[in-house]
Amino acid sequence: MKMSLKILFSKIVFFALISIATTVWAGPLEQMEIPSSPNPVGSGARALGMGGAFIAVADDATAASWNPAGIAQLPKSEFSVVGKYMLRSEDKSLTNALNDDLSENIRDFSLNYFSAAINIPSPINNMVFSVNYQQQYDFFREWHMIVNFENVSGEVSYDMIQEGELYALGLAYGLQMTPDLFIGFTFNIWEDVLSENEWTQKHVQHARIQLGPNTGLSKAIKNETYQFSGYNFNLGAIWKATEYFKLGMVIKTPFKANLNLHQSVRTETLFPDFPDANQFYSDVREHEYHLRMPLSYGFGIAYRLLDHRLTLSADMYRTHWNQFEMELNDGSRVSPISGQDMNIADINPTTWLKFGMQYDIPLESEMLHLRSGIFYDPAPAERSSDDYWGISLGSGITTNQFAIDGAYQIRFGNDVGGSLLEGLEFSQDVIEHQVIVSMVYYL
Amino acid sequence: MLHFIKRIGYLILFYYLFINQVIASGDRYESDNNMNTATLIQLYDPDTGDQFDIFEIIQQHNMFDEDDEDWFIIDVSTDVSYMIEVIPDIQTGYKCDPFIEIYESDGVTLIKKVDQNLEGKKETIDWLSDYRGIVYARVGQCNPDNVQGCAAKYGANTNYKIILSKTSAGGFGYISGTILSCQTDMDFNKLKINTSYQGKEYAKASIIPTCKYLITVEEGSYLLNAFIDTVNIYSQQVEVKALQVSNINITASSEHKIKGDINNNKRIDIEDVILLLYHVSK
Repeated sequence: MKMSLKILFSKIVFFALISIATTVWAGPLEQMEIPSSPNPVGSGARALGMGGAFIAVADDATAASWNPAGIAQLPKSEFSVVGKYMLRSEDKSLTNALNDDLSENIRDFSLNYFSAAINIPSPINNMVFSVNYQQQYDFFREWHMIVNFENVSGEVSYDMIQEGELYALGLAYGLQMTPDLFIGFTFNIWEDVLSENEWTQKHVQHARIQLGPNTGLSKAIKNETYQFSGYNFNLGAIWKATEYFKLGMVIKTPFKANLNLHQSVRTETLFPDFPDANQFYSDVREHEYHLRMPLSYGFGIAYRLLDHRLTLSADMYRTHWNQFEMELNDGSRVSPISGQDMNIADINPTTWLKFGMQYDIPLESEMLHLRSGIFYDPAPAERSSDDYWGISLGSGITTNQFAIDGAYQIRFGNDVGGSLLEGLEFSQDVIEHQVIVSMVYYL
Repeated sequence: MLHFIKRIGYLILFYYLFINQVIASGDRYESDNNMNTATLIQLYDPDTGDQFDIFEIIQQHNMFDEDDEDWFIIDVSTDVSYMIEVIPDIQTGYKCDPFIEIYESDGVTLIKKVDQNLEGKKETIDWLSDYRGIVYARVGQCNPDNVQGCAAKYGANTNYKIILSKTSAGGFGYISGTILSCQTDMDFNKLKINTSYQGKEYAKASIIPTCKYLITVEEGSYLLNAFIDTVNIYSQQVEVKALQVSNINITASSEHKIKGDINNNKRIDIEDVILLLYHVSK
């Protein structure tokens, strides 16, 4: 009897473990796709023209997004607005694809940044408040593909359209502590302000499946709307170590965001030969999930030479994507990147490296700027990050009253996105072009 | 005495955890480049056929000796997608330039090979299995004597890890199959097949009189259930992958035995519990 109880206990433990294991990944898969750079970048043509190496430079109103300590360097109050045009090309590769062209081009023009910075006059310490509105992520993506099934006769067409943007309203404060030390913070409010903070996904899928002599037809549609809200801080510091050399650091705090998901699903499975067998399914679901957004932090250096006309800068920025998780209604936690349970998901932090330069050419009463930069911008993915690289070029002119800057940036990654559609040898080559124009008006 | 045994135990543990890892030059999984000594990596219980939701198994290997090659056995199911990744270690594997091959159970017939000739970079095979049972995977490096442009190196800094996993993906997938033991003249109105998770139904099957069924459902992991009248006669966990068809045959007949129905009265009741306790106590 004693032995039997031991066996019974071990069986109970075994089945309990199996049932725990089987709760992993159960139900419909929840996965989040961020086609733009998932790294929490800053804004502005000046910074992006320098490859985004701006943490130690941060000397315009976009500093609130890069390093809020930088706004304490503003000598005047100013308004700024940044527009962005984006063209993203995704060239996919997929097993058994029937359409020759699996490339998609996504275009979007958006308000990238808007700010008003007020300088508080002080004979001792510079102090600046600013209000900022920044585009954080875009979700624009389209997929159109037709695929042959591997193990049965038939094919499936799949169309997916994803749209939306996330913005954050930032309230920033910067203070010059000493002639050489600046500190600041930005309080980011991720709510519906000027536009809805949400993205949508629409999936339409039609299939023909041959079961012996009979043909089955399937039509499926799923519409999803994700609404995002939350709060976090950017904390920063800049230290002018020497007349030529500056160091900067920034921390973007982790936070727990609310993610409301509205889903509607409709499927039809039809057999024209046997209409009695036809099945229709529809469901509308409301989920209140939580997203734990990860900690990120960066360090930058800037060095000025050639009589302060040439600035060289370099940044390193790390985001702990292994802390990025979605809490579902049943309390389970999944990685939004792979859809897998957090106990199984293997997502690593990413480290973003950026190098930039700016050369100033004095004109009669204006200053002309030439900029360039390179960067390595890895995107988180299951097991190993997807490698993205980029180059940027920019130019601008500054007068006493205003500044206009423009930048072009190309970001590309080959054989990336394998974890988006596993099992079909999926990968894609991505090239993203961005043109950014900034205008600053000094009061 | 007990103290002494404990100390010996700690020494052995220390040896396995540290010393053994440092001085090992070959692989503890397969030391003599021979498929017959390869170690099994399994993702499902071969006795019951139950799929474990352990999605990946990781082993550490290296290419220490010249012409080193590593064999391992995978116990696979049909119509399941597997991914094998060979990932050179960033610190200690930058000289490793691996290829991956999958062989049938004879260890000779090649099913698939991947080799992008990338030193220090990972190689990946995505493979939809047509097999049930054992297949072999072989990981090695090209031979500089035979392959032009091959810059394979052996010795230190050739460590890699190999990961076997089942794969997933977005959108909808399909489940289809044959209903075994079904007769074409049976009353299909009494038969119901669906997918569920935590008691919620996510899709119903179209069942046609040729004893075939088809389900369209969102990508994910579900219980595939079959009912005759309202009696649950079949339940099996199933993964549904986007744009793919999972082939699962279901045994369904009016004579189907219900799991747990020890006294065969077509339902699970207190008598079955008493019988179970009686058997356990014996």
